Amino acid sequence: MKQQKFRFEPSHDERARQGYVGAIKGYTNMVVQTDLERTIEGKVLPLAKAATAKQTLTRKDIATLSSALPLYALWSNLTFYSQDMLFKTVGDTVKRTKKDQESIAQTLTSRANKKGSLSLDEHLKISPPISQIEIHRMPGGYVSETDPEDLTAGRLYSGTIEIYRNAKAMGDGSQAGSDAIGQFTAKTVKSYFPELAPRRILDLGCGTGEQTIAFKRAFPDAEVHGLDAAGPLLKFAHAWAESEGAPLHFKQANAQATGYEAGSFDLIVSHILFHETSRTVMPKVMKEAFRLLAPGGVFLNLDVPYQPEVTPLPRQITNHWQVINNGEPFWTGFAESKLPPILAKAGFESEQIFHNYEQFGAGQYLVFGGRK
Amino acid sequence: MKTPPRLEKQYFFDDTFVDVFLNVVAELTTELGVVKERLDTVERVLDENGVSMRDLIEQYQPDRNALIERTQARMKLVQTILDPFREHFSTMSDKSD
Repeated sequence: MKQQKFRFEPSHDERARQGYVGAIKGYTNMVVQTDLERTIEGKVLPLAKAATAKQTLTRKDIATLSSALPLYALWSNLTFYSQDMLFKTVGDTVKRTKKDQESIAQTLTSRANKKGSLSLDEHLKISPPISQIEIHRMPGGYVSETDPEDLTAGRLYSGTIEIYRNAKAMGDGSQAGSDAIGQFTAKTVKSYFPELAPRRILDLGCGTGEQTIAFKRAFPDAEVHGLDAAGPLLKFAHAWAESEGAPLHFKQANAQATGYEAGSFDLIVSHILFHETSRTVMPKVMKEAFRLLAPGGVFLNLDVPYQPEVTPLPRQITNHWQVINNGEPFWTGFAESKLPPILAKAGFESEQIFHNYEQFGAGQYLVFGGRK
Repeated sequence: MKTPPRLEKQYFFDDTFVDVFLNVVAELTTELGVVKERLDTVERVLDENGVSMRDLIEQYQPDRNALIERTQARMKLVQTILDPFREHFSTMSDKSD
């Protein structure tokens, strides 16, 4: 009997609704936000400069003034409500297909001849923010489950992320379950380090694991591991990888103390992980990555390109809104962190550290890391 | 015979925007109902003629071209409906102190 696929299966109308929510988000991000940023640039900045003796205005000063604009209220309303709509419509699919999909996942992950593995640590202490807030306002957050078979958190994340990314002009038009971002990271690794032939690869903060699969595809001879603190997301990742026929090994652990042997990886990657870490946690994760790398090993991370030196002030205002209203507590802290010194402190030699912007789809990502 | 004059548009909320907004919601509700009913008619007519349209719709997989056209059509509709709000608030923002 042909093995059924574990996948995201919206009905015709759910798919159409998800498409429209994506369009509303895209319109809000591209048309309304552009108009808002134009207004901040053309109206708020000159007024603020005239009114203050301070040479440089802080982001906070401008944010306060901008929040009085009626256009700011419209943009906020649309951004906030479209996020609710996104989770509601993807949630409909997740709920409607829950029984069937969880049964397929169960079958795939309990087979004697399965290809990969999953190691959970139910005693792992989940640190903030993921234990305390709903990241991106995803209902239930990343770590809640109603029972051990409950895959709602992973399915909700996986069903929404590409819609979100595409509407932010941070995607390439991919559908749910795509490994396009992982493929892009793997391609970036190959272009930066053409001679690298990794035997063991680790995807840090792999979450639902779709991107982890890209590394097995890009480096078929390597043993590929994924690590995350969120058990429910890893259960999804394991089932997804098995469904895709990819032999991946997932482990629930903290990225600051992974429990792997020193020098046991040749390539460590992450995708949009570090903007979810605090300024205290970030250096510890980098230090752990350095410890895990074998000599000559590469640490390469993809993250949001919102550093102040490349982000106009109006865009910093709309970005900071996400911190307050979209469950992104560390977004601004990450953007304002100087990453190369933190990498150097973690052990990377300064001439081996990189920090670049790379084009992907309609947008760009920050690519940073180092070679041991 | 001369047509009697029309009463000009009335606003009932202190914030006239609420009136505008509710008008848009009423228009949208009506248009959505028209589309739903037309689709229901298509399905019923085809069913009566031996084509199980509901199943075919669920099985339908748009090709790349259809996906691109739909993405463009969605953006166009969203922009048509929401842009009056953006224009309204954009003008207000430019005028505000």
